[in-house]
Amino acid sequence: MFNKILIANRGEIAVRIIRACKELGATTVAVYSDADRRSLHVTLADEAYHIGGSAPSESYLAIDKIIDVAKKSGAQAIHPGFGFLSENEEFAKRCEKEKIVFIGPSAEAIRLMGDKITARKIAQKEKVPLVPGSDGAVTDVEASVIAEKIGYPVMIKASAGGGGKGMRLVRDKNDFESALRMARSEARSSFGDDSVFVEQFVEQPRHVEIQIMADRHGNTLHLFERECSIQRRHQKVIEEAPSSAISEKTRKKMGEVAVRIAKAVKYSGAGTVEFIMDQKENFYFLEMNTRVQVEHPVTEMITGFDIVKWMVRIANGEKLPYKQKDLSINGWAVECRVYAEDPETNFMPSPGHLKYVKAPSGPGIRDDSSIYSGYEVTSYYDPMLSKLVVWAESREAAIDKMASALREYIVLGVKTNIGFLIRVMNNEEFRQGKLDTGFIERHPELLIPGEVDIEPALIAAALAVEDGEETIESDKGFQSNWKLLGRKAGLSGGSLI
Amino acid sequence: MTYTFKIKDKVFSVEIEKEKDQTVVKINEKDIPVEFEKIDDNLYSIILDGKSLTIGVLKDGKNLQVFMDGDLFEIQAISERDQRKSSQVLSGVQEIKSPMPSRVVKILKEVGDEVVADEGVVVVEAMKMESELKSPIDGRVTNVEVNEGDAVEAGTTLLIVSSE
Amino acid sequence: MKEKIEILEQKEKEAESGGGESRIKKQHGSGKLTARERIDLLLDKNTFVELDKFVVHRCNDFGMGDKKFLGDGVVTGYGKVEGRQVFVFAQDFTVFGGSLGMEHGRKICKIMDLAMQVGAPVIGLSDSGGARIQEGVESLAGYAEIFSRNVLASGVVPQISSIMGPCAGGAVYSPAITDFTIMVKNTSYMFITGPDVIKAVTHEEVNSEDLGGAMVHNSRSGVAHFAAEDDKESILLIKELLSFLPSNNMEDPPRVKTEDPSDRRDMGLRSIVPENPNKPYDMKDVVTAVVDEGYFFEIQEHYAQNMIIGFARLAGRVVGIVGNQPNMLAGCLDIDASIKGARFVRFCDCFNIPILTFEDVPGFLPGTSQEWGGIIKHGAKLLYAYCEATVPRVTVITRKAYGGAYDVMNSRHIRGDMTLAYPTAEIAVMGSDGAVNIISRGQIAQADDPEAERAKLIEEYKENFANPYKAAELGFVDEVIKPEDTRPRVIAAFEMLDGKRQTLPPKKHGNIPL
Repeated sequence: MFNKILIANRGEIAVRIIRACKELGATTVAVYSDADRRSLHVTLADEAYHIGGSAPSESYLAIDKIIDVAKKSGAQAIHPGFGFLSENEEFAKRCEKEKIVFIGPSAEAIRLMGDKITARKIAQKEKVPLVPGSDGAVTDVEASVIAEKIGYPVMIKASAGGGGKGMRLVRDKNDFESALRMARSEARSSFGDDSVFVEQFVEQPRHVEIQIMADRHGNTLHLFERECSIQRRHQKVIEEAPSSAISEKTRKKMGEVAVRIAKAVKYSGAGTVEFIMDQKENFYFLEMNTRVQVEHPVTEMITGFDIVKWMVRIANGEKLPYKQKDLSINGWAVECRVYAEDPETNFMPSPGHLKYVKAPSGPGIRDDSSIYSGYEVTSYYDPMLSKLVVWAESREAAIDKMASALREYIVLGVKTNIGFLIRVMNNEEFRQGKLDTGFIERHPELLIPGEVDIEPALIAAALAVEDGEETIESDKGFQSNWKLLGRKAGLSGGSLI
Repeated sequence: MTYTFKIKDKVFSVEIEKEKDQTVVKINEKDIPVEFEKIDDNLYSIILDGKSLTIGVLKDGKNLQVFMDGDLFEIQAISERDQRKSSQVLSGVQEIKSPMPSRVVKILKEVGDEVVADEGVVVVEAMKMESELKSPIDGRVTNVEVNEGDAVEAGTTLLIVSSE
Repeated sequence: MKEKIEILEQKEKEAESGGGESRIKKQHGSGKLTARERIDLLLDKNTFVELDKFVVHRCNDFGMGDKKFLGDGVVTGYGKVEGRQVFVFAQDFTVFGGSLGMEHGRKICKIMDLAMQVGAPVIGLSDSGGARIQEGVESLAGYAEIFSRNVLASGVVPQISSIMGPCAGGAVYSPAITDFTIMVKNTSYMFITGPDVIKAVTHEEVNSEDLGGAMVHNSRSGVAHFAAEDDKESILLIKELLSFLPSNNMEDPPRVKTEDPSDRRDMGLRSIVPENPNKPYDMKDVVTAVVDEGYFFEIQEHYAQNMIIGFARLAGRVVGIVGNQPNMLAGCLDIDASIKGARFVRFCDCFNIPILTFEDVPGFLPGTSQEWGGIIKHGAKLLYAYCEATVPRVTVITRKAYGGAYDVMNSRHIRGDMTLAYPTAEIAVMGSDGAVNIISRGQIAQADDPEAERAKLIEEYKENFANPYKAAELGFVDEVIKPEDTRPRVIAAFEMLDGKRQTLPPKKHGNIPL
């Protein structure tokens, strides 16, 4: 095993990795920015080095500085966590060059999967299902032919697109021509490029992904699926494993497909193959994430497999001890991301000083967090405070447990989405598993507290106002003998000076 | 002590009555017996008719953030004195009087003119310094009792504004 | 034992019921709280310890022998306000109309004696019909004993009176001697002789409210310092006032935490003081821009409004604020303003409260009423008070500092510690017009165009003398500051002066011109 491992990340994931490394007997090295001196990953690690300013580009993205610390501290391996440098091909290459083990896949695998077009080509070659449509830009004639072939409804998307600009949903053949014209003109005005492509429209899509573990000896396993359909602003908020929407047959097929993709790029370590799935279990490849995923705990909970620890072991050359047939799903796990944000104002981040924090606990409850009473949530980084994960024997029981655990969570000092998460847990549609990525948009009522009994809040407010009317800092003001003598002399009358 | 709290547009009057062994909180005249303990600087455990609640309260001057069941409620506290000061709504007939012995420099409004609260109605001068006297209410000028250039004593009525 | 406890409990219950349910109802009906309710509001929960609960009067004349109430019409004891020890007495109007007899008076004296021994404030809640006539001269003795203690305690521990009902005749002198008097609107009045006597003697017709109501004493006589809407507000005012006061004359006032940074600069200050010396402005705007959290606790806001006084905090420490108010009478000093300022300065000096003076004063108010009213001796009071004060004293001259009034308003020459001036300050013997008219009378008269000459000379005078720099050259002004720097500079000055010790020559007491 490595003697010393550097964790090139911050926050909750750095804490998670530090714990795993410590359990494996390695000395841990943290790096931190100006804003993070008081962060938990710094206080928890065995060694900590300051690497620069609060802006990520000056610290957590500064390859040279991190490599310097690794060399100076004698770390043999670097775990990049997620985000920051985790999917940076250059960084992986640099580690290789400096003879530091990068805990993750090869730079080549990162490169291949990092480029959307290359990834799609590999998928195609491996006969992995893709959303049916034109491969790349098409002429007007080609477009209508393809639309006819894949069947309506279809999406017309700008090749250079993003943000919904130049996008048109066409449900009826007769509307196709005008929609295409509008999409092109919008694309031209928005991006200066009017090329478009046509794709089948996946109605009410669900986001399902497969966790991959591969060692450096050719063994590639999948650890089943996770469903992450509850998203806001294209970011996952609630994840669960397994998915309530797929049959054993689809699960098996999806797993095999994912393993195929991983093998195609000689993947090693932990990775995730993401799919989009319609309500009839037709699934299509989206992309592969070549790093540990935020929501990895739900998979750990249902498989008993420690993904982070195995990433380290695999990087150290160890062999996976299981075969696919040894693995099975046990019970149900749900994860909620607790954010410092305000659901009422389109999930605006809410930085601030945490006056009080109390996380829930109990059997089957896991709180992966890096916050504590007194912690400062800055605006430099993602405002995620914690990942609350629960495990129970069934989906219903897990949701009940999550609702109850969330109610135990107390975070004072910033706005949080805890109330919103509780309302999702209690939502009938969610409980029935009727999920898709448009769930939150469809339920704006969940963003604000419903008809609640406000009286207890008023009572607490009154008690607090009454309690702290004015805090007297010191009453018996002076300790100065100089002043005291002056006062005594003043009382008796007489000159002092 | 009585507090007035505002949540969004709703106003509540909350009164705490502490007796020897019981605290009663009155919300909009409804009595609620409360058993409470302060368990941290910003955290209260409250038992209401057997129902146990843990509620966090953060205070920033007159603004309170109350954390209850995962939600944050923003409450604005208006103290008794603040409220009384602002609730002293003047109405009826207001006499604008000279606050000091002075000379009337300029009368800014005529009988029948409409004025709004805090609008100047007459300028007086004393000790070579001009002061603009303002109407305390919205209303209409009903009388002008002096002429420009008059010397007046402290307390002389200069002008009358009526809200009716 | 159980029986004996029951007897005690029975007696306590009797004492706590005051004059009985119907009288308590009547008290509530007139918008007043009972003595015990007032004390409850004032003191921290469960801190009140009642003394002399079972005291009864010893009068047997006029059938009083069989009319005895435990406590004798006044609730006395000690307790805490925001954790700090205080002594309190509250007259109980439901018992003999709160009238003061021998034992009633002795109870009050007992807590005053204790307060002076331990060095804690005394708070008196008055609600009394006056002397208990049945007790005759003993009742007068009761008053006098209280008065003499009020005087002895003056300057030793803070004394606060709240008038929450009638207070007539000799009874008024106790509040008059105490440091602060609060009156409740509509339910309280104070006078030496009531409307009936006045009518009989001078044939003047006046009712109690117009004669001695809360607003009369707050705006006209200056007897009271605060007017409260009701009993509750009155208690709130006492609590707030206490938060600014030390417990006795050897201690510092309590310090509170503040979030307001000491180095806060307020650019708004640049525009508050108008350059034109004839334009008024509100000095309170300057005060609130400087002090912690913009909070100024004004005292006597309705009386002599050309002078503002009150408490505020700087970096959490209490300061007494004295300021001229250009909005009223151009900020001139007159009789009332001088008395108002003098008494406040002396109070601050008694209790180790540093004084911050904001000065914009064109002089003393001219006129026969002022001269005949004795502005000479009353103005001297303010001068006297400043001269003898040994607490740290800082002055900020915002604009005018003319003539004798400049000397009086805490100038360096009368032992002021630090004088700061804005660039708009005009420290001069008088305004430009007046000065030119006197100095250059001949030159103007001989000029071809006297008016043009006058205007030219005034302009010259303004340029040369209507500024802070002449005084700064002489060291009379320690520092000319930018208005926005007022807060940091003033805080720095008081921090520097924190250890100040200064004494007066040995004497029995000075002879302030009363």
